[in-house]
Amino acid sequence: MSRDNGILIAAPGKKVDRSAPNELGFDSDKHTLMVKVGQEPPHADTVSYLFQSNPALPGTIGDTSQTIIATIAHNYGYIPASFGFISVKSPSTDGLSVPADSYYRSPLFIPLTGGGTQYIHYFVDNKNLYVAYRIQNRDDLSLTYVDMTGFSFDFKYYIFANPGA
Amino acid sequence: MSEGIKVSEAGVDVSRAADFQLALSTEWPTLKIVKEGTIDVNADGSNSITITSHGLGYAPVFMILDNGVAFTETGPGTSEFDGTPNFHSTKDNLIYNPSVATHYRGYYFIFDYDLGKVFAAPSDHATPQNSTTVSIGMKAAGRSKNIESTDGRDYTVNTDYRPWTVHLSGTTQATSDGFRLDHNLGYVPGALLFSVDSDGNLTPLQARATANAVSITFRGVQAPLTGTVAYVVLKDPIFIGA
Repeated sequence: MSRDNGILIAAPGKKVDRSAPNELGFDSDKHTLMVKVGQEPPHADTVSYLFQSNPALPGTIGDTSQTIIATIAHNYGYIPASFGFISVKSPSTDGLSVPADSYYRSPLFIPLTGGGTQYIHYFVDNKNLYVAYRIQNRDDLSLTYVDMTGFSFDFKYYIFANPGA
Repeated sequence: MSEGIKVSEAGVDVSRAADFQLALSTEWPTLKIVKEGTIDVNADGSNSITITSHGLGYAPVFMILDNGVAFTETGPGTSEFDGTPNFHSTKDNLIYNPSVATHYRGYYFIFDYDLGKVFAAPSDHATPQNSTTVSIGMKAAGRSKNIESTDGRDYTVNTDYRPWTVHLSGTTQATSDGFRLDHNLGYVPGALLFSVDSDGNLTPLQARATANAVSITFRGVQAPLTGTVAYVVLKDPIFIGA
């Protein structure tokens, strides 16, 4: 049964009937981003990865294939909202200019050296979240790219229960 | 001591729960969603498009999810965070203004959260507790939703779910290259940044963060990070699972 009753709770030191909506400690009428706990695999967790070799470049113009690094099932049956942080543990042997022990929100674009664009990111569909490495829609076969060998990182992902599409 | 309410997530003792293991605490805010919806627009690369009006009277925190058609090219049926500067919030609207012609499909969240006000939460408990088999819980369904629903999207609080909560927020000046915030959480927290223009509009900002248990420093990625920056430091640690 659905009802339109609700709960308002004031923030510390505030009166509930004198608080602006964004000053309330809780408002049962307002949704927020929420991660389901106790799931296996977890809906928020860290994936670690080391590039032991350099992924092959797409061989043809317009090739949008990518290297899937990790697949995390959520099985919501719809496309959920999501987010990710990338923590660089060691730069590549190519002298990648993203220092170790720094972190970024996803996607992380690798600084350009030879004109090509490559990045680490994630995406979700209605079954899984994927952590991936990608050469962006290669449109010039003469461009060069950073060798990712030796690059390692931690990826913290969030799969929210909220809709993402 | 102030009055308040704390509710831990399922299976965790509320008196020992880490701050980020609370499904509800009145000591610190969540990012309350004031408006959300799909985006399906054709931009010509020259003129900005108003995605929606929000009526908040200030430029709010927002999040865009790209549904596989813009720079990431992951294809229809997918979604991922879009932190490009193609979107910005004003005191009235959410605006899309790409520099090239684009048919954009995505999803937006606008949060009733004003980064013009500085906020700093206490840090009560940093160490997460292991889950037990205790099954006491609490939930509140959203407007016109069924309290017996098994769909997490129907709830505004539910002890089977962990919300993103705010530890620090506000606006500061980045000088020379970056700025530092002291969070004292005992672990490395996640954070979101926005650049702030002279009209107070917010645009997503990528930065290089270095952090430890007590502080976090943001610097530029390919150019120095300078100017006015708005920040949200989350309670949630980026290297501990749920």
